[in-house]
Amino acid sequence: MSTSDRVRYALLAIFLVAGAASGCGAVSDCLRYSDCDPGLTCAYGSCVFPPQQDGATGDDGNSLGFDPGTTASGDSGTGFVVGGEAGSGFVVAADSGFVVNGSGSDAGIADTDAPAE
Amino acid sequence: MTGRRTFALVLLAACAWGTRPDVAHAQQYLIGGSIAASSGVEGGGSQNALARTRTRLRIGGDVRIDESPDDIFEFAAIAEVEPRSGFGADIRYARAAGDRFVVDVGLLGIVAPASLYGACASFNYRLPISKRTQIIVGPEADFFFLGSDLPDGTVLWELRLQGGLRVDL
Repeated sequence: MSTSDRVRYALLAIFLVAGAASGCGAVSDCLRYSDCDPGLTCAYGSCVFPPQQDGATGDDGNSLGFDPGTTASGDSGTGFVVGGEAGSGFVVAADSGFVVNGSGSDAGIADTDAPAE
Repeated sequence: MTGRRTFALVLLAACAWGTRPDVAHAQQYLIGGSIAASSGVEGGGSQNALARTRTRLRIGGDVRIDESPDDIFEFAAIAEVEPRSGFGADIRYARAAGDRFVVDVGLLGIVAPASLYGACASFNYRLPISKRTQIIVGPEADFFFLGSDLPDGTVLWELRLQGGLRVDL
């Protein structure tokens, strides 16, 4: 094999690698965690903000995660809708269809053990 | 009688010492040093994405014994220089395939700023430019499957083209 042939093969290899690097396949932002800037993480080939931990929101000491007397939308089927007026009873309605009606209680607190009047 | 026996034993030991097979003097270590740069493409992961890999510098040495010059032990420090930096090392077993071709396999690892460990294989052509100096060029394939820098379930592969200089020391 002559020197010119070797040079030709070397140039061909360089062009193949350069071509693959420039245009072939899906281009990725990251393949390693260290490809991303500090504060970001690599997920599915892209640098993204790391996901927040569960319980980071709504953790005010209330196990239900809502403030009594306020209304929260519960369209997802997992939340509660709470509505109450002092002196006129209270209503606790969950998306599951669980409804409690009561009257004459000023407490405004749902308690299934309390006898309805 | 005891003295003659002792003298005979000492004489026998001296003869044995003086006539022992001395293979160590026939062996000679042949040492070389090299510096090379490489870059290429890398891919892997569930997306099978492709990207240009980090440019790497490799500064290392190789050792072989004159009685078995085709079996070569190689070691090197490696530094990733762009677009991100990293530092590591590799060890390889190389086998000379002819006067100018060398094939090697080994283990390599990046240890900073995050760890990455895997295996490597390369094929080098050595073009002599003087009695003791050669230009080295050839492809290299790396596979990383362990380390804190690797997302879960990902095997990272790199295909590189490297070129550099090697000197017989």
